[in-house]
Amino acid sequence: MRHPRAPAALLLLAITIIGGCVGGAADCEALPTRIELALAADRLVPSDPAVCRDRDVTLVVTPEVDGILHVHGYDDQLPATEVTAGEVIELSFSAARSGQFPIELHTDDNAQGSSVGILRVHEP
Amino acid sequence: MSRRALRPGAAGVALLLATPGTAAAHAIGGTFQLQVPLWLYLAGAGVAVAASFVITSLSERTAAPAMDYPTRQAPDAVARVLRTGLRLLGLAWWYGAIGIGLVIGDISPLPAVLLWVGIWVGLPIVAVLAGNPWPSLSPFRTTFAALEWVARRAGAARLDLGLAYPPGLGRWPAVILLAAGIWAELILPGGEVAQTVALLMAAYTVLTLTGMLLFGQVVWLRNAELFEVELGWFGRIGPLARLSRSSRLCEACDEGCDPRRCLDCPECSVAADDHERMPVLRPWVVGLGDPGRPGWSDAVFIVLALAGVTYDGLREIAVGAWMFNAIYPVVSAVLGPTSAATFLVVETLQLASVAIAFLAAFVAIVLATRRLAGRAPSGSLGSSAGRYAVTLLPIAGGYLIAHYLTLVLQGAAWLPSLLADPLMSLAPQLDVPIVLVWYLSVVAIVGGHIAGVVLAHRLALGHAPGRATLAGLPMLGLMIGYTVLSLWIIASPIVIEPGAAPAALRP
Repeated sequence: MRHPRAPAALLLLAITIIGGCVGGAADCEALPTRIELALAADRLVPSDPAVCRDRDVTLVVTPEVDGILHVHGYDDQLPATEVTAGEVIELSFSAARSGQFPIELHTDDNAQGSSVGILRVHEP
Repeated sequence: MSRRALRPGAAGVALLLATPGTAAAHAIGGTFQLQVPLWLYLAGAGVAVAASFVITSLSERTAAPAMDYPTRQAPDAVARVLRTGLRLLGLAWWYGAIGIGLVIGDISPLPAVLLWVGIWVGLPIVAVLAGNPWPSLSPFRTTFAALEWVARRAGAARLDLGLAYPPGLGRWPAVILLAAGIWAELILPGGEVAQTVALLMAAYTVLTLTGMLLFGQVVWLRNAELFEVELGWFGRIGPLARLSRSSRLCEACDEGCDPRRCLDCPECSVAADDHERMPVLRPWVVGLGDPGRPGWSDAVFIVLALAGVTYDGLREIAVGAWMFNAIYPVVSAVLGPTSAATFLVVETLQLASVAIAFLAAFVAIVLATRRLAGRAPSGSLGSSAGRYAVTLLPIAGGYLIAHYLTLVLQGAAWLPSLLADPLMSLAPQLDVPIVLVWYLSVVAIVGGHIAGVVLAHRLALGHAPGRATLAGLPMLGLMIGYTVLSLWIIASPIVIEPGAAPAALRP
């Protein structure tokens, strides 16, 4: 019952499209395991710290404001932590999951919290 | 170590949860304060389902001929363009996800969005709302057709080996693959990681093409290809159907489809060439009125699909934690308290428990239905189970919409920026009011159950003439119970009782 005609051409076209969609990933060896971060009410500098999965990581945070710092999606490894302006705090955790995880700051003025940066955990 | 430390989470959901402002209800965050207590909503929904049973029982007292509904043919030109577009899209979608996962890999969420959000939960919703796109979209059909074309050019008479498919095997291969798919989506550690997704898809491609080469396209697709079977079932709810132009195509069909109409017969749908079938429009749900000859494997497939989405909802609420706490001590005593295997086994046992409980409840209901029918029941228990399982499909469809529609919408909104930057793009936040999500859930779940009640009553009219209302009571009980359970699961993470303070404001 089947008389295929064009499928081979469609398959070739699809493979060509896929072939164009290539790129490169992060070099895990070059990524640090200890990252210094400056935290203001509305931003984190640098805003997108990148690490590799299965590494023990330390974030050294220098806050300019009081509040609660929280990495969304990493609550188990890194529970929400209270920060105080001027007091440097070290947050150590094991990067168990890869992906992109928003870093949120909750302050008295903004109890709901807002995203100040993104933690990127690359595949090894 | 806490439970979630080693728990991977639902692959698609995990992706979208890792974005600003997303929480429960899968993709849309926030809570909603009810105007009346939740129990009133749940009771009202149960009463609506019961009332639909009373009305149907009073208004339909004799079995109507199956397939008695109007259809309208869709324009051929539109169908042709749509078919070619879907074929291209299917190839790019499936092989694109594999290519991106293997070549780019790393933290790209694109393969997982394409598979878990797009194909796994998106396409069943499309099938329910519009119709089954898979016969045109399927990369396996297109790939196999391309291989056949090559074989023909090389002088081969046929591509497949034509091995005999064991007749007793039914659709059990599809059941096993569905169970494996649910496990991979909800439990497999790293199930959302790009490379893992690509490898899963590549392995499934090899398995499917091998099956088609060994047993032939028609046999493998209608019995073992997971998406073909699943979307074939859900597609019977949607208004867009496929009609074979010639009834002769269905005369030798094993599925028991009505050869005069030959609509959406899985076997004919696979066997017919593009020019041998045409799209027609029909009312929603009526396609389930002629389910063919489903048996045990179909019943288990449908109940498992329902159990899978229910398990995903249960583990977001207190019941999931309760189940975990019941199973964890036993497993941890054997495998250790913090071993990765412990959490994997516990979650697998949780999923298996829900699936077994659903199957046991369903079989008990079917047995009770047959007993209440009064005389020696016609057909085997498996045949009754298969036919009554079909009446659960609108319920599964309604629950899919309630549970996953927001996730699919967010996935669709994310796709353009993900395609532009597969590595670093972040999911956008959709401003869909949570109250809208709640009412949509109520309508989808109650509507699905009412459709299920009507279908089950029509089935009982055929099986137990004169005692259809009595024989329908066990299924009615099941449907009212599941209406309340599923609405409660949907409501728990997103609603706040009247007068209660939001969690964030409690001391």
